[in-house]
Amino acid sequence: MDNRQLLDKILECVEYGKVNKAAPFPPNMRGQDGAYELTRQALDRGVKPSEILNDALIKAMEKVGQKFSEKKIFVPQMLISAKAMNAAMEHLKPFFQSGDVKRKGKFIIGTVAGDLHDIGKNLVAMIVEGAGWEVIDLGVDVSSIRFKEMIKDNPDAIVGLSALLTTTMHSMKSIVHEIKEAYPKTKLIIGGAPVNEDFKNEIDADKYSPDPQGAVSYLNSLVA
Amino acid sequence: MINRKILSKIIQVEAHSIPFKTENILKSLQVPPDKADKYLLEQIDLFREKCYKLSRPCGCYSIHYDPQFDTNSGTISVNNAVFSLGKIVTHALKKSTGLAFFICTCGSEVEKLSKQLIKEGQTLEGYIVDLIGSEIAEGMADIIHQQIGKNTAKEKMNYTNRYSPGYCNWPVSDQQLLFPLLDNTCGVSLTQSSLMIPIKSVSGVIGIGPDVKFKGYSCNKCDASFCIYRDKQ
Repeated sequence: MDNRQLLDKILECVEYGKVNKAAPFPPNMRGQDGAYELTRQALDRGVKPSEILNDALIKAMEKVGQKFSEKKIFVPQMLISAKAMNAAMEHLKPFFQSGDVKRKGKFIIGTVAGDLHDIGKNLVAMIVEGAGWEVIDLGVDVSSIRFKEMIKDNPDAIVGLSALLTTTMHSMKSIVHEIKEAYPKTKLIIGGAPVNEDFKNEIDADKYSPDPQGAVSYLNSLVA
Repeated sequence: MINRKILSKIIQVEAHSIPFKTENILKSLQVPPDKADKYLLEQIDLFREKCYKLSRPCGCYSIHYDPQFDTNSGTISVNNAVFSLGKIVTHALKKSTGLAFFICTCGSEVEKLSKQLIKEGQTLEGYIVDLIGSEIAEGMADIIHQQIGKNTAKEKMNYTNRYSPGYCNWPVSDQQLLFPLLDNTCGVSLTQSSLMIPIKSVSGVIGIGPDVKFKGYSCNKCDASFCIYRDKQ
């Protein structure tokens, strides 16, 4: 297998969710090396980390996102793909830290104050990370003060706010207002079951996305 | 006006007595039933067993009589507490002669397992466990609902649908009024922002009386498209 074939194989592992050799999924790849082992092999052969990231991992997650948007795959497959991508990323982390591999930008994400639901937020965080962004996850029940502290430290970051309850939409509204007042240039994406495009317009956020892929497309458009 | 004593009850059940529908988990995962692969179905079965062993389903309720309704303002007064239920819920309950306030939970262990799995990078598995926890808590609420139904039938009374703070425009902050109306909360507590801990808990109210009835949920009147009760029959 040459380097190109190795990168294609990593891409396939992430696209279909083959995390590592021990992983039982997908059944037709049982017993084969997964994203974890193949990424290690690629680095050992001297393949550049940036090539692995751009030509295998990000491309794979783009395919996954596209298939999700077209309803060819569903949430579970997307989560398994994200897990495979994260397994590969384990080997790339040192190169991010050393600066050898650059990410597209920073994305701060959190579930707004008063809301403890984090599944949707986690899903978006994983997919955005898989698209080549550095994700700063603030967790749940995040106050406007906490969001602003992080924006202060990361002034170029784009911010994502999540809510699941209708009642915490009010919290989202006030947090968006406070962030915009302090940092008018910061782009804000909102998501979560009860929010929609009308609500985005009402609270003056920059983008509403009903799914993770929409968030990725918007983020990528900002750095294109 | 009849002055009746408040009736309180606590019910604990084995998780295995709560019906489980795999299709509900698939629906929450947005997977059409005919597109669910074998691996996913196996994972749901595996974690259903684990969750059923871990969970401690518990439900409790207190029936308070002679509530006062104001359909114009959408409020109900009971036992010195004034609930701002909104017009949808107030209208649905207005013929009630008693209100059964309830709290149900599946306990905290399922939630801990979900968080642990997600922390370990097993997001799908953690998500499945989270959804199973919701199913158990809702299943416990069904049991409480049925129990109240049986009791009211003995007295030749009827009962309504159940309504929860946070849904149908009933502010979640009214949880702070609801909880003190119960003698026991099954170990469920409230955060300052009125969310329940454990998260996999359900609270709410059911109306009882001779002239009330259980109806289909009037989902066209409510804009909460995500609601778990939406279009429930």
